[in-house]
Amino acid sequence: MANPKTLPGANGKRHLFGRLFIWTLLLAAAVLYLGPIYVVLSTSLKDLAEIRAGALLDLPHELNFTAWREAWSSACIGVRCEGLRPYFLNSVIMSVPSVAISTLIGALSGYALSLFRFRGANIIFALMLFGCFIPFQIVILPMAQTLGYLGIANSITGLIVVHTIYGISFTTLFFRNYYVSVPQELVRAATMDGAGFFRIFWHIMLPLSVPIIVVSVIWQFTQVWNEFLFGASFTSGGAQPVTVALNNLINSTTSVKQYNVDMAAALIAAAPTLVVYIIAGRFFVRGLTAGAVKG
Amino acid sequence: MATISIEHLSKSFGSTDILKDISLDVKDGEFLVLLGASGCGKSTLLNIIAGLEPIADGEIRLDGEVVNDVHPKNRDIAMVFQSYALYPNMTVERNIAFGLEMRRISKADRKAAVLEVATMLQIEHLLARKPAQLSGGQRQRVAMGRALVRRPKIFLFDEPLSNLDAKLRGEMRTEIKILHQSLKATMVYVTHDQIEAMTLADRIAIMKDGVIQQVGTPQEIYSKPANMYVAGFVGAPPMNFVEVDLIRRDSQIGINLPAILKGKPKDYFLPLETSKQLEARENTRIILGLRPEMITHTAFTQSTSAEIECDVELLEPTGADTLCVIRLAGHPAKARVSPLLACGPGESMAFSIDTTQVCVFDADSKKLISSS
Amino acid sequence: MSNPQQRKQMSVLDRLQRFLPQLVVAPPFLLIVFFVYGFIAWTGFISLTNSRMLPTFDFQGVQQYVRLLAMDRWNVAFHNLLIFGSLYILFAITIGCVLAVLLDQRIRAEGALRTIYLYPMAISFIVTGTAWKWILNPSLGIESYMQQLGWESFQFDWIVNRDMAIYVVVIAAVWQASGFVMALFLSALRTVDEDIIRAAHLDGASTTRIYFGIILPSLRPVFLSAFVILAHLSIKSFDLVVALTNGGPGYSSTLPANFMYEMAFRRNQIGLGAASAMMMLATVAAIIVPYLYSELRAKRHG
Repeated sequence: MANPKTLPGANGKRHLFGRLFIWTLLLAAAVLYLGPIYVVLSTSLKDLAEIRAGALLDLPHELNFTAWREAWSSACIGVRCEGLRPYFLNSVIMSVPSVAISTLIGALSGYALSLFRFRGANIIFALMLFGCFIPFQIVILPMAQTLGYLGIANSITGLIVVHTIYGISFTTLFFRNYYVSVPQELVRAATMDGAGFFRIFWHIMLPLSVPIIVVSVIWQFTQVWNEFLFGASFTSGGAQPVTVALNNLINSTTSVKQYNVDMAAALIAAAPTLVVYIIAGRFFVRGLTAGAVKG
Repeated sequence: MATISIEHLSKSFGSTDILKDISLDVKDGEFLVLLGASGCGKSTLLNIIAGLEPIADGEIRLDGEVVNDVHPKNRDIAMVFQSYALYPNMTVERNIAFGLEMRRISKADRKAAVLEVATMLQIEHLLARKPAQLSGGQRQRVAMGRALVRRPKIFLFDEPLSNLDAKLRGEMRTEIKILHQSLKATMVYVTHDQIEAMTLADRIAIMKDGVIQQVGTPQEIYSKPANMYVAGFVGAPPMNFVEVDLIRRDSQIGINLPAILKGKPKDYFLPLETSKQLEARENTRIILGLRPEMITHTAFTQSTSAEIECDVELLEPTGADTLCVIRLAGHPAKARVSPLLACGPGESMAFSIDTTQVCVFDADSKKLISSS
Repeated sequence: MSNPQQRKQMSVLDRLQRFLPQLVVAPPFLLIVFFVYGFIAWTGFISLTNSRMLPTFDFQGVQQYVRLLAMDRWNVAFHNLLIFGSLYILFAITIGCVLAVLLDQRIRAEGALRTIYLYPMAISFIVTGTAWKWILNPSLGIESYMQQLGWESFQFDWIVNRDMAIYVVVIAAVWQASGFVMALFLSALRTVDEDIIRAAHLDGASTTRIYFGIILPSLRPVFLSAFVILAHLSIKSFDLVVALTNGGPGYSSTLPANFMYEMAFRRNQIGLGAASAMMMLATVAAIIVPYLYSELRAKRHG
């Protein structure tokens, strides 16, 4: 963007009002975006009496972490009263392998599709790409049956398999679009040097791929961690991931509504992806836009 | 020994023919340059020799052995790429050693070989660096080192100097030539730069649209271009083409050259050396090819030269020479004269044309008819 | 010509090398073929049977589709999708685009602001839904807060209002996605050729005119990408409704995705669920297939 400031005659009163206007809008937007998380956080730190008194937007009188403790280890979800912890662990156990495996598969297939343009490579890529966009409602019925056949229904293993398979489309897209910009001459040079398909991948391509590996891992992790439909459809009880457990906690109608526990639980469920986003936001944005700006 | 022999080779991508029935022999120790404009198929031909592209039709033999199906790594060929294609994640040392590493050569031997090559190319001090930390010229040297270290029997170069600035390109050209003379290895070199081709080559093969137009020594290519494409491609500024009638005057065969003197048309008769081909074409249109240096100031007039006088429209000084733009047969043509003798634009000047050197092309086939 | 014995043959390993790319792509490709296209075919087939609790192979033609289109619940869901989809796309693109242009004015705190606008995208829909459900609940949420502040007549009870509940979903969804659109536009704005802008300044154009006359029109592909992504996300939307309104009150805020889940897993109407899933797929395909086709074609020629 050309800097209007550097242009002569751009420093008048109009300019000042313009800046003020821009800043007002930007800050107002920031308040709106931060509002919900502020409300959730402050509610989670209040006790029930304070919540019932209203004053949604007020700061808590004192910091009270009871709700957090309860949400983590003793809130009742269904018949079990162990808090979110076991489900949180389920989500960890579910996401780590599915993220790792789908990223590895995506790296290999993206490499093969981009740097070895064999006949039909583009059609194969297009067919795989479509998998990014399908509404998963179209596959849950046959998938439920297939998981049953395989004996991994209602298990974390089943969810790992599902997330790995439907992650391949995305990871292949990431790596393929990344490797497309790697000069083909690099592969040719390595071929002349006597390296084969896997050795080129291992010695040359993988060391170059750190940024896109980070993008793929973050994207897959966010997707798998936040996923709800598969978790709700294929698991029940103790095998549920944290999103499903959270929803059950919030919609349980058995006892007195503990809003502070609900909000603490929501923050616990959101914490891992939020932390990843704050640490590696740059890569997160690249993952989001990679799906959009292909090329 | 390392000879390359290509016979009736064809290659197409989809419905586009990239190479059409190519036959070419490269002798042992020869420096052959494939010259042509971009898209003429020269790089594809090089990749086929390397084994990086499969062939549809024809045969390619190295030292007499058909290698159509031999994997590149088993052909004992090294290649220098236009973009250098250095491995960005590896140090210069590992870049050079990578080919040896893939061939399971011991670490100590690799180190020694790399050092030897690096010393030869004067890049020993760069061995620990990554390619991103190198200048263009240094990268070029590393790319050369990577090819040299394996001591292959054949070297292939794919426009290796095109990413360098003009000065560096000149220096590297000299170094490559010295390298060839000391290694006495067979080299095939692809370029679109005719100066590189002329200075480096033992022989040049000029390509256009997937067809080899002419193979010959730089001197042959320059003075006896097989057709107008070759004639126009080689030489800067390019050869002047003048479409004229072939006539006979007083039993002497020659051409009628329309020029302009003091703003008025004036025809000159240029006698040509008689030959059977020319006589057969008497009274037809031909295309006369005149290199700028064939039209020069009259101080150099020899007995074989014809003299014309005509208006100079424009001057283009180049330093050593000055180019005079004159009008021949209605089209601008360039004459190369000494800056001391060039007259100003708008004035008229006498030129001598060395008629023994001119090229005569058939107006239809654009092929060379004769040139003495 | 050489005699055949002289010909060096390719070793088995080298031959294998030549087909390695295909061999490596084959397993993931076959997985996709089976688990995407095979399953689509399976669901398509089931939608033509009278399956209820378990899949049966009792073929009955398009009966399920006829039933589907006659159901008020489905029509409400599809109507909701039209409302939700168009408002979601419109607001997310407008807000995202405005924020991107504002952020493009050499704002000192750009990094921090960008992080703030985009963080909702990292949160799951379930959490978003939970948060907004709490904020918008009439008894303890923003409505009662405003009334306590003295604005007695303030009313914001959309979440429990049959006619307005779907708009609550729009609000939460726009909150979540507009930052993403902002990021998309901002990265595109950064690639605009500065020389064009300088030239326009020299021609005397104001910053506003440069944006509306030159820069934004040149971002047409980004608008298209944003549209396609948001459109397919809106069709897939499921979790947000579950957490925010659970489709209620009644089924006034269900979307097709929720309808499908309800039929397939709660009401033992597998055939009907499959038919609704096929309808969703058709809607997505109508948007995605032409887009992918043009994108991949353009790439091949460019």
